[in-house]
Amino acid sequence: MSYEDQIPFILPELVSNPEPRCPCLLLLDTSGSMRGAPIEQLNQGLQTFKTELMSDRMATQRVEIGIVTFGPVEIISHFQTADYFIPPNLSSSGNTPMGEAIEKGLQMLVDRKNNYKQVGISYYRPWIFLITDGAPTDNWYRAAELVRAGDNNEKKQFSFFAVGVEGANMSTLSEICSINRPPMKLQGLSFRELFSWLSSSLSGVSHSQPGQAVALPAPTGWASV
Amino acid sequence: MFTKWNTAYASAKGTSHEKTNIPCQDACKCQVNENEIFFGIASDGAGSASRSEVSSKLVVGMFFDFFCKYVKSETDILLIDKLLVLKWLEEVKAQIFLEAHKESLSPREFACTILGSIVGSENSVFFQIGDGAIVISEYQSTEYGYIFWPQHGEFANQTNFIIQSNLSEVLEFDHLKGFINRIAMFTDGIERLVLDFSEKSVYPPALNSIFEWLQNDLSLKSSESPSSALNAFLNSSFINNRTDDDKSLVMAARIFNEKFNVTHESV
Repeated sequence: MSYEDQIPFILPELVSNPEPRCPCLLLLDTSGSMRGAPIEQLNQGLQTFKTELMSDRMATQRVEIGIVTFGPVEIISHFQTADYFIPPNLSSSGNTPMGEAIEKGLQMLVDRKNNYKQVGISYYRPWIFLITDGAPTDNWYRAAELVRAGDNNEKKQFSFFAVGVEGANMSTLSEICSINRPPMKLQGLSFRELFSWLSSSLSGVSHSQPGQAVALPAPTGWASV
Repeated sequence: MFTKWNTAYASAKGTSHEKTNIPCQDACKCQVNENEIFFGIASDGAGSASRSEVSSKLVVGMFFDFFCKYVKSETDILLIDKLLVLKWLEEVKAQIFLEAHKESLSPREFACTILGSIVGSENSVFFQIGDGAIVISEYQSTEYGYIFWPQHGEFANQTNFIIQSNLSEVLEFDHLKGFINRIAMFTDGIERLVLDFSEKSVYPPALNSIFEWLQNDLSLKSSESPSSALNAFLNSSFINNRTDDDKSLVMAARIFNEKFNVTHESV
């Protein structure tokens, strides 16, 4: 006998509230130096990201992806859930205006949170993922201040992660990142592994319940120590 | 007007806990005393806290003892104030810290919430720390109101727990005057199925049929054991398709004198 057979009342009509959202902002370097294998691997990584998020029913409805590329700064994708997200085919050109991209991305997040609040959608702590193979060619000090002001032990407005591809200026990245979250270095061109890790980490967050601090899986398979 | 409460309560393990083999970390209970005063308690153990199934049961057990000891009659309800509830909470917290010490664990591993209700014929007391909610309906009203909105921080996975040091700040407490006819208490596992978060209101169709059953099934007694009907409901795929968290539901409805007399005659 199933549980349904033992219910003595008419099944009630439940509320269908919108799912809570877990915004993930990707800040992607598409400057000239990414030409060739790096940008191709990055594009494939984005495909993997979509496929893997789609394999988790809850993550599909809860994780929202936004993309800003730099070289030049451009919003490629406004925040949308994984089922609506279409992985772009990025090409590379120009210089590395990382500071401007970070500022633009942070503003996108502020706007998105305001949208959530207006319509009563709850949300998880947003993630920002910066991927670069170079150094900023614009003024990045204000961007660094904003990152550190929003990601520290007192203020936890978002979690900011930076990943340096071969050739990236890791010391500048360290100055942009929160002290608690130093930049990581990508092993070779293992973008696919990186996005696979990102997908499973976000799945963990999107399943979490009150009181649950989410332990991230180790960045094995893509980060070099 | 002579009335009698019909009550039901149950807690059920979430499907995410089934998979990982974590026990149900929710606990709840309700009871009606000899003067037809309703007592209800529910507690949700934090998902990240490894021993919260211990603390949620402790919270429910200890608060039941406090209620039974302090509240015999309607006037006793008037004597309950926020300070007294804080004193009770500190006693429970001390016990939780003791358990944590015995197991050489951090009290964080025992984090849990609390929802409490005492409802007499004219006076009632409600309090809450954390998420979940208590909703009520007054006599001859078709509307439901929530007592406190679930406590969530900026992010969906944040709330308050009774192990915190700032209990006086986070404890919500309210005295109500009026004749409450229906009451439902539930933990966060089903709050999104009953509360409309866009409108910040209670969605009546999510509760009506269960209350109607409680008010019309005269074979029910104010039970002191979990309800098999609510247990079946909370474990059904109807619910589990919509939430993977643990969930508790405490419900009570008044049966009015004419119906009540009929049952007496028929016995």
